[in-house]
Amino acid sequence: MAPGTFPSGGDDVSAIVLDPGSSWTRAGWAGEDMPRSVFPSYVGMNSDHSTSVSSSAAMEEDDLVVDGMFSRRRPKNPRYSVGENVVGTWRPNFELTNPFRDGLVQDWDIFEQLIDHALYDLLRADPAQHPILFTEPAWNSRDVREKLTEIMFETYNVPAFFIAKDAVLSAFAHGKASGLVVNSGGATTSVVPVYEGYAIKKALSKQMIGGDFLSNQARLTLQQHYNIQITPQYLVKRKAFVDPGKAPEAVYYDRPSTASSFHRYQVLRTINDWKETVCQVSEVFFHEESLAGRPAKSYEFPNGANNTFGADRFRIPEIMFDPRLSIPDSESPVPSDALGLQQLVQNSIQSCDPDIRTVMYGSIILTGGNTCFAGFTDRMSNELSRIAPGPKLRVQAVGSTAERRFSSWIGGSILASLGTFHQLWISRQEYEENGKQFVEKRCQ
Amino acid sequence: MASGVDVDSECLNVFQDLKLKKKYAYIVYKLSDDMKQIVIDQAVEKGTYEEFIKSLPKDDCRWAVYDFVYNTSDGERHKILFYSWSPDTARIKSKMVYAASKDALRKKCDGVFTEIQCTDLSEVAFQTVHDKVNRMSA
Repeated sequence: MAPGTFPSGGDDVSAIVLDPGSSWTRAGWAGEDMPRSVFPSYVGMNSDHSTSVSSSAAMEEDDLVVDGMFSRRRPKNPRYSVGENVVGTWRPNFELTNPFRDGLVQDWDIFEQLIDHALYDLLRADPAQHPILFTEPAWNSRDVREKLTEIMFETYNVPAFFIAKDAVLSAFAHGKASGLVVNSGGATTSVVPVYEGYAIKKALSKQMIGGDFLSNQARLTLQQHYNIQITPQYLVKRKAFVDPGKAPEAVYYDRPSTASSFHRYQVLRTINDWKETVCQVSEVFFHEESLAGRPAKSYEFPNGANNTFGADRFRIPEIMFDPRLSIPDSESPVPSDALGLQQLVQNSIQSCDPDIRTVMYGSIILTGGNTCFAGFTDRMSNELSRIAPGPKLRVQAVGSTAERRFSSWIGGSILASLGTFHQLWISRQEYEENGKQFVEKRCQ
Repeated sequence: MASGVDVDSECLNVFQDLKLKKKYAYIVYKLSDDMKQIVIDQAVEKGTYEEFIKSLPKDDCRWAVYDFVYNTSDGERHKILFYSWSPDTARIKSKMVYAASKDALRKKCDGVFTEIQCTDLSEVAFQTVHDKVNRMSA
């Protein structure tokens, strides 16, 4: 057998593509246009009292597992719950946790729950039969990569494995072997120069201002400017219609022993919907008075509280370009070295070799859910042409929101489905001969 | 990271003929239909820059090598340019595989002066390319 090939009985076996992010995990089959499933990267910790209370979705999955068509290699750990419906369903003392810190896997036990859910519950696949391609951030550590390689071969028994840098996949998916990938997700915003298919690690820049930070800022703004306390749907039994700006007159559930992590997650989800519905980036320099003249948008929260939002709907995403607009908050403070995104881009490009800076300015790629605000692309172009007037600029963002949110998964899906890519996988044989260190050599 | 796509040996032969024998004005390369190999789309002996631009499909990717001729105060100059053509309207699969396979072809084309990564006609326009070549020769 040639190095890097894996046994596939005549017909090619489909590979699985997993793209775990700090907020969402995307999972699906290589060769498909979109991930089969996108689920929150949060794992619920069942307390002793709540293990017996399982949502209908979870029950259904259990039924299918015992139904003989498919057997889970590992039984479900009753301590954990994963999946959009499950983590969204209130139970007493139900804590939610997330395995990532700074975009890297920190808690492997929790991380494996996400992988198990993707493979066994959603794709109903036996990983021993399918090569698996993972995505990773460009700043992933050697330890994490080696550990993932080891787990894939030892625990999941995969026939072949590959790990690809999400920035490189995004650049390729935009038709670029070289370009500057600006990725703003839930926890992190990163700027990664990609040159000839490789991420330039020494020139990447990132900071912890992403969608979650903006959501917290939105929470504070709604509280301070509109006297709106975010009350997520799980607390609302019945809402009543009230006039804009008036106190809500809803009937609430009594939910004692709600875990604070569960409540925080629900608040975040509620605000995300507000952000996606009303927020927008000012195409030109933020000027409160002139933005106040733009049409306002109204929004009603789950408990009926509602209002129209004018300049503030521009102010929240503006924090991406000017972090000094943030409202001070001791629980989620602005990083002291926070920079506007345009400055982050500029710094990354200036850290690149002078010969390739023009290529970078000419191929700026926007990806990640937090770049989906209307006006984001135009504003980015305007800011950059102001601070870097010389070079020819081109800011690229694909039209469809799905492609922008999933570009690294889609890139991985195409790559892993190519017949010619088989020679690049780390095969089981190569892993056994060279050990987990081989990932550093093969997956650069 | 690469796609593992292979380069048909004829690709290199026509490149050598363009470079050493000046046999071609330009060569356009493409992926084979099964996406396993890079093959010649067309090798054109005599053609203008306008004809070259017209040979790039509106909604699919290509690579190309062009023997770029321009005049300076010191006389006529030749520079071999390598183009990666990837219009926004191309299918994402095409964009992905072309971008991930470029290096396989590019590293076989020895003697290229510079590369042009282009997504629309303004980026392949003679004047844009001429400016870049001039800037780099200065």
